[in-house]
Amino acid sequence: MPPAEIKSRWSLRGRLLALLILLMCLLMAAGAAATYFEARATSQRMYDESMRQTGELLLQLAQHELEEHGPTLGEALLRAETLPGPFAFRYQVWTEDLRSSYRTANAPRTPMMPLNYTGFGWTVIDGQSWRSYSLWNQDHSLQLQIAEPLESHRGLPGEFFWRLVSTLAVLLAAGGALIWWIIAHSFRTVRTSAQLVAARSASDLRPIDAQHVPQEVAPLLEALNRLLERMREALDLERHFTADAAHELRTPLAAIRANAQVMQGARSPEEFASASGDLLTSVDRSGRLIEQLLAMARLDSGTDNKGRFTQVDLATLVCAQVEEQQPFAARRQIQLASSAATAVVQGDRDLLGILLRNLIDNAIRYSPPHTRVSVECLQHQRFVELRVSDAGVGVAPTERARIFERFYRVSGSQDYGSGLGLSIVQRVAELHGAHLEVGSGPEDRGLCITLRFPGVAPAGLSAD
Amino acid sequence: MRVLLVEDDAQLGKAVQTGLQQQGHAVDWVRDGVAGESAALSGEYGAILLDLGLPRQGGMSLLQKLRAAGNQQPVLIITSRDEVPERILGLDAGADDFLVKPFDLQELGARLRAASRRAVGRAQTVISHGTLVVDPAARHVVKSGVDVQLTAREFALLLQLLENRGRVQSRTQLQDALYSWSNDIESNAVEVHVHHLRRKLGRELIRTVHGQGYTIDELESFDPAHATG
Repeated sequence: MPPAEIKSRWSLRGRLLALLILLMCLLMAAGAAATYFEARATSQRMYDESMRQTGELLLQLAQHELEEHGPTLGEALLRAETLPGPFAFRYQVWTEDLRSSYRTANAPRTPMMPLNYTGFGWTVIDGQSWRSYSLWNQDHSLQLQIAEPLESHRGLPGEFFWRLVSTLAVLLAAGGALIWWIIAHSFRTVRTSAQLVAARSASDLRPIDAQHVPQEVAPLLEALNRLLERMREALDLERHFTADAAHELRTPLAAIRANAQVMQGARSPEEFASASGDLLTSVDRSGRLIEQLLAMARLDSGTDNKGRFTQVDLATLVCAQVEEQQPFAARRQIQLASSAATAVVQGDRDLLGILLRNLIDNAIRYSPPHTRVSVECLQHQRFVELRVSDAGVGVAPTERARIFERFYRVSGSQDYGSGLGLSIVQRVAELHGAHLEVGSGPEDRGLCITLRFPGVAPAGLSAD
Repeated sequence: MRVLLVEDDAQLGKAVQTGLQQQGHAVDWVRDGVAGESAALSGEYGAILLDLGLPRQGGMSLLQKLRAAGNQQPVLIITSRDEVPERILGLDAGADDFLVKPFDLQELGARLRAASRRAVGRAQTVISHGTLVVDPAARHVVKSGVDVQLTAREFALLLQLLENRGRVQSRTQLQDALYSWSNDIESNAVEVHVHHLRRKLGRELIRTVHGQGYTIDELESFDPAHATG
């Protein structure tokens, strides 16, 4: 894989880390905002409460002053000036007709709020926002107005806010680091597994340890192990096949070599002629074996043959193959007969030809002279039946399952087939979904191989 | 040397038989493990050539039975499987040598000679007897420094007698060493070959033991006086 592709690929770990840290930031920001506004509201209530209490107290004081001394404004004003503490109050006490008032010196000379307004409110003094509170005495003769600059309220929640933010920043840094560590740690098993897979040599198909990995990674590794298992089986099969093939080729090769040497050292023309005949036979045998090996290899690798399937009339193939094998049958003094009526199957013409050739060749090869090999092809209602039978020595029922094994030869047989013919037949049958059956030939002698292909309606009649 | 060939492949078997006959050996050829076993147990062979993949009985099983029966005839395995475990198995089962197909017939001959040499306990490749020097590999005979031409049968007979020096070989034994089953043997064939050998190598070399057969006597020692006399 090109590295550029890897670079552009998104990382689960990176995404998780970024999203979690972002989420944490958002949560903290929301928390901080909520806390700030709550703190501001709370402090507002506290200020309001203290302003209300102060207002009530001052109103009582003012009323008391008024009852005791009459409207001596200057004194009350002085009292008001000496209000202690950090309070930045300003207040006014107005009579109903606005004719006189007590007030702090820095308070405006006009009412800060309209007299008909009571309770908490906002006003602007000297271009600044002030919080105000107005209340009447019991007999509605005096109104007290008290105000405080908003600026003096802001200090507390503001300070609180910045302290909160700095604490959250520390928490965020610590939390981020922790998240990073947790994610990195959790993903280590993924990376370890990846390294285990990456470190594998191409020939090492042992399963990867999926015991100590988390639930999320295990299915991936298990799927990979199943794949490895299938690959190992395929490779083993191939390895065996190659070994067997090499083994099978050595004997005819040895015969070729030995015959060539016998010819070199021939003591008579007869010996020379005999050895050269044997040499040719061995060469033909090797050639046939190689041909069969190649056919087998092609069949093994071809898994998508179905795409090449067409409607094939098995009967014409049977006629062609029987025609082709007649000389071979004649040499062996075998009567090769066929009976075939149109029988259409869905399949690969070449592969079906190979199947027929091998079936007929096999039957002839293992038949004694002066016997009959018959090939029949029948169109049934739902399937097509192909039957090749001979009157040879046959195969014991216990051995019948083995005749399709590669390089298996019936023991004691004098002829030297490639040992692949019936394996090829089986493979082609498998590719065509055909059912393969082995039985005895006519009169319970010899061998009869029956194939049942799934039937199709002849072309032109079928919509599909 | 008389050789038993156990090989099921028709073309290879025939070629090896003919090839070894060309090298002056008598070859009996059987095509399956059971026939091979009875032939090996009933005959006296200079060497047995054994294929492993045999019908009716595998070569390895044949070899094990042979060795279990105390039969010490040299066995050469010819096989198409050349994996090391296979060789180890074969050698441990009592095979004397291992030859992988496809092989050279000359090499096969050389290995047969080596196996039979080891069987008679001889390390030298050349047999010396007095003024007579015989090279089985080259099938070359020198008498007092002069080349002597022998036919294949004469050579085989001479070798059989030299390898069994001091022991009397019956006419049947010698006949078995020279001829395989397929050969038509004339009743006086051995006498004719002995006659020719005596004519070519001197009368005193082969001694007739009346009523028993023939022998070449062992020389007393490496006494030069005796050797040249």
